[in-house]
Order: sequence, then structure tokens, then C-alpha cells
Amino acid sequence: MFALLGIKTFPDFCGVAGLFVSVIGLIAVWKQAKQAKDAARAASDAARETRNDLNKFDAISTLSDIINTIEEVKTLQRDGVWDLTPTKYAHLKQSLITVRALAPGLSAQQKKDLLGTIQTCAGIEDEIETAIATETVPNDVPRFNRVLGKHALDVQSIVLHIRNQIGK
Amino acid sequence: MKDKEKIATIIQLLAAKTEKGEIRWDATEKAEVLQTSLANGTVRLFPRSIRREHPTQPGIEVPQRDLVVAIFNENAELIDEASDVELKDVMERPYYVLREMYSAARRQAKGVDKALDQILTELQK
Repeated sequence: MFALLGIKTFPDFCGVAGLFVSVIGLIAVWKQAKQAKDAARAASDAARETRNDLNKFDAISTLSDIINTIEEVKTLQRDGVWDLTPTKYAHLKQSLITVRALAPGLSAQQKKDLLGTIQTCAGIEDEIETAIATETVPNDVPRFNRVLGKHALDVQSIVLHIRNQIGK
Repeated sequence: MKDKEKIATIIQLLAAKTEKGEIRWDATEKAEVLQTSLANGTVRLFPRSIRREHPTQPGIEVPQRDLVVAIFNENAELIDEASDVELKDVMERPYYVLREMYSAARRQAKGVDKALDQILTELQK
């Protein structure tokens, strides 16, 4: 074997041995670098997942706030407290537009459901603003509340969908 | 393509999808207004009562019922709207198309077909 490697003297042996040691050292360094890179990638993935989960928690919080506001609006409308409702609808629309744009993992149908809710809120807001301006009262409150209740259920199903996505 | 021609094309596509049951129409805050949400906007379909001059008796106004399509962007702002009367120049039989679509959309929004199918299925057991 020594003949095959051209080793005839001790210095030749030392040279070949040194080469082997260098190669083994290089492999060890490469392995360590790869492990470090894998660890960095795992940490980056974990950070991304955490950020994603935080966005989901944020979306759930906003959607829950939307459901609560819808229930508040229904009560205000039932009691005929019209002056307070336009602000509530403006808040609802802003929250719905934001959550529709930013909530992670929404399906196309869920985005359409949120768009439908935005449109209904805008429609009711118009009706109320017109009624306030003409000093009248919107005439179909049960219908307003029934439609809002249906939208609240749509939003609730989106909350459940996002909650099931946490940690995945 | 002019705006009214675009709306006419949208109506024809919506009518075809409504007939096939490929889009969902929903009830709204107004009894006669129906809406369907698309990826980036909402379409509302509703009748509008209007008084117009009688075609053969000038000076006499008669009540008429138009069917209107209104298109909103994703912030619920009105982009454009057109009634069947305004679409006569760019579309064949607009009132008929809109009336058929409105009728199908109304049945769907009220869940008429679904409810009847469920009752039929139960009774046929």
C-alpha cells in the first residue's frame, strides 16, 4: 500500500499522513458548518411558525371583536339607539377590511364571506345615515339583525377555522 | 370595451353561473336586494321602481320596474351600476336575462330548492 502511495521514506509518510489529516479536518469542519446551518434554518422555521401563529392569534382577536361589535350593534338597533351605530359600523368595516387582507390561511370562500359582511355593514350604515339625516327611523330592524346574525355566524366559523390552524 | 358592455358581459357570466348553481347569492339588509361576493368585489341585484313617460302618450308618466345590477369594490364603494333599460343597446333581452337571474338568485338566497329537496328526500324514504 505504501508503494502504491509512493511512500518510500518517513518524510513521504508524514506528507501523506498530513494530507489525510487535512482532508478529515475539512470534512469535520464541513459537517459542523452544515449542522450550524441546519440549526439556523430550524430556528428560522420556528421563528416563522411563531410569527405565523401570532398573526393567527391576532386575527382571532380581531374576528372575536367583530362578533362582539355585531352583537352590540344588534342590541343598539333593537333599542333604537341610532346615533351610536354609524361609528360602530365604521369600526366594523375597518376591522373586516384589515382582517380580510391580513388573516393567514383564509380560503377563497371565507374571503368572500368577509366581503359580503363588509357590503352588508356598508348597506345598513347608509340606511341609518339616511334615516338620521331625514329624522326618520329605519323600518326593518328585525331584518337588519337577522342578516347581521347570519354574518356573525360566518365570522364565527372563520374563527374556528383559524383556531384549528394554530400550531400547524 | 365600454363600461356598459363590460357590465353586460359580467351579467351574462353571472347569469350562467347562477343557473349552474356555481355562485352563492345572499339576502341583504333590504328585502328585495340580493348580493353575491366575488374575489375582489360584490355584485348586488335588485328591482327599482321608477316613473317614465308613456311611450305612446307623451306627458303621461307610468310606474315601471327596472332591474338593476350594481358593482362594488372590496371596500364596499359603488363602482358602477346599470339597469336593464340602460343595457338595451349592448345586450339582447336584458330584462329577461336579469329577471331570470333574479328569480334563480332569490330562490337560492331563500334556500327554496334546498328545502324542497330535503322535504322530497324525507317523504320518499
